[in-house]
Amino acid sequence: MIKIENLNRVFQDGSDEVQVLKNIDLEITDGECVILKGISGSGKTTLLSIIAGLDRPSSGKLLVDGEPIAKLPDEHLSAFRAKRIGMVFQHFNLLEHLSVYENVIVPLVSTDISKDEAKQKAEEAMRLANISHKAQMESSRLSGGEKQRVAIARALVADPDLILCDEPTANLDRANSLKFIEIIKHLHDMSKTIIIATHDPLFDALEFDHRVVPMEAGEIISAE
Amino acid sequence: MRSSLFWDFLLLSFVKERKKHIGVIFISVVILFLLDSTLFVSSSIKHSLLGALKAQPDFIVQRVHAGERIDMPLEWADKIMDIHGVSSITPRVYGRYFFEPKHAPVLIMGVDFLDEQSHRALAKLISKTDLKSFLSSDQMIVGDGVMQYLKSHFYSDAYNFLTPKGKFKKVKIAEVLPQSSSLLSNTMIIMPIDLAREVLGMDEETVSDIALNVPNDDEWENISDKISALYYDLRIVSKEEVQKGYENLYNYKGGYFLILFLITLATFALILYQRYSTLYSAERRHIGLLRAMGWKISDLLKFKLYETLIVIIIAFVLAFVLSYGFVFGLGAPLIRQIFLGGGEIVNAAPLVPVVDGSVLSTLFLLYAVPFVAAVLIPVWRISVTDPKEAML
Amino acid sequence: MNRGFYLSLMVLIVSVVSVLVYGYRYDSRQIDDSLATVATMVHGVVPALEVAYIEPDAMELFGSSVRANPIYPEMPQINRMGFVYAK
Repeated sequence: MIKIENLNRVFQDGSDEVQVLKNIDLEITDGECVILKGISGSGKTTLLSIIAGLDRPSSGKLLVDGEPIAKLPDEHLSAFRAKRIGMVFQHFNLLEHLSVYENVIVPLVSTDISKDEAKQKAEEAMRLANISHKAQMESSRLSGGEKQRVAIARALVADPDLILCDEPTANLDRANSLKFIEIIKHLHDMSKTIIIATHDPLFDALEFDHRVVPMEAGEIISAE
Repeated sequence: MRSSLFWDFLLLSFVKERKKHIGVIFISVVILFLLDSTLFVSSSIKHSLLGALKAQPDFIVQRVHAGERIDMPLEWADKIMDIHGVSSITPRVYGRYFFEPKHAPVLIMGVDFLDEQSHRALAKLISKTDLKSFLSSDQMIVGDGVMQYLKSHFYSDAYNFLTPKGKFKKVKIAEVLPQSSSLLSNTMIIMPIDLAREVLGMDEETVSDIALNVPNDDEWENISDKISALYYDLRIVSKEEVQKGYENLYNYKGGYFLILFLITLATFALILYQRYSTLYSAERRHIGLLRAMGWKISDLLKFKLYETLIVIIIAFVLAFVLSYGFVFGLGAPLIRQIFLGGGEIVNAAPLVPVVDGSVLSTLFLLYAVPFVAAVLIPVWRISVTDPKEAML
Repeated sequence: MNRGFYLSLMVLIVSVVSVLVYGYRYDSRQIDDSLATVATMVHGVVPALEVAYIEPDAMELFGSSVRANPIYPEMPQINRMGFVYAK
């Protein structure tokens, strides 16, 4: 479970301070699918980054299964990211010089897993993301939709409990966006906790249980 | 994190980013090749000269005026011989001769072939000529370089020396010293001592310096003091000094080498900086991404360290192999001119393959340490920032 | 892809081993004997005039060296006036 209490994030812009998140209170239960909805600048990406341990709050509490993530030392935080989090970025953030398979195993390289086990997990993740047929292709030669699926496979390879997606359909056409939503539904059926930060109206009419958390100017407007 | 997956990923990543590394490897190889070649040539020459030192007399006594050597009376040899402890004395006659005014100097060495050692050595060297006829007529043995020079000036059998007295002295060429001895003999002309005196314009009672041997090492200092006390203007050069001189012949801490090393380091540092800073934003994003995927700071540093070490080792070993082949296979054209180009006669002395391990290790450290620092310090700086900031 | 890397590595290792074997097996006796014979005959190790003499003192860069060269019995140091006079 994720518990956020009175979370704030302030950025320094020269001598000015910019408050990107204001007094965020949010609870997410295991297996839940939460959509952080808001326009650009609403703070949803920043909130997602903090939950993923990629950024630290200026003040407030963030507990994931009782662990104060923001206060963990680097070694434990890295382990948390490696084993518990699967992140899908807006611009995919693939390593362009590597193949699909090689990109997918990146999160496993930092663990003590064996080569064979890593291969098994990668094949399973690519199958789930429906990108197995392009395993040996260099990722720079993939289409946007395919790159997104590689990013999903990479996010799933370590079998994390928590899947975080930042504007996952921003660079996809409608058809690929719908395909993405199908994968998310499948993951939801697997009882993964999913948090998606998006302003895509396609997420307004999901066909599975989900909760929309609207955000504006760094605040949660109302939580259902 | 030492699983085989890590190593596999490391090698894979290295090979896939080979374009990035090939440029640095190429530049490193060029710089190290020049350095290694220079070191190989100098080590080889040093090794050969030090090896020949067995034949160096224990002391050379010279007369010095205003810092320069001048000829000394032969009778001084008798005085030195009287010193208890001196086992053998050999007066030496030598001098420079210019084949052309201000050009093509050679060293004329007059040898007393009645001396047993010199006689035996002569017999070894002169295989084609009759010893008796060599000693009884005006003949000389010339170094390989001297022979090439004379041939190019249409002298093949003999040469007419112009003596200081204004007369010409025709001397036949008996034999040419082997090229394997060219490090010493390339510009040497060996002739009987009296003939050398005639050519150099020295009278019978004069010698260039005196070589002597003192079998008991413990007596060296004592005898050196006694010799100094004989005449006020003597300089005594011991075998030890000569050895030290050769060991420091190409002092890697001094002058030419220091400049070479510093220029190399500076060039290399500039190139590294330029090379890796242009990749900065892409590299930064990659590091941020790996951190986001759960890589620890230490994982990243290890990854980059091993990647850099692979580049360093490949470049160093490749440069070593190429320069070894260049120096000891091809004879180091151009570079050997730095060490064997001090005169006007070409020296084709063969270079014995010698590798000075200590200098090579120093060179490796001078190359590897700044390189590793240049890569790891920026990587560390990026790694310690929050991944989100790194990925911007 | 790694196979290519390992192949290149093998070639490099073989080159190094070849170099080391060549150096180990090189018979320098002929050269050593020649040099020793000439040195014995002239009673001293006198390098050929082309062998460059590099001042062994690091301070030479700053013009403070006064070391005399003990090795060359005849050729004066090239950075001294004696060389000019000799010419």
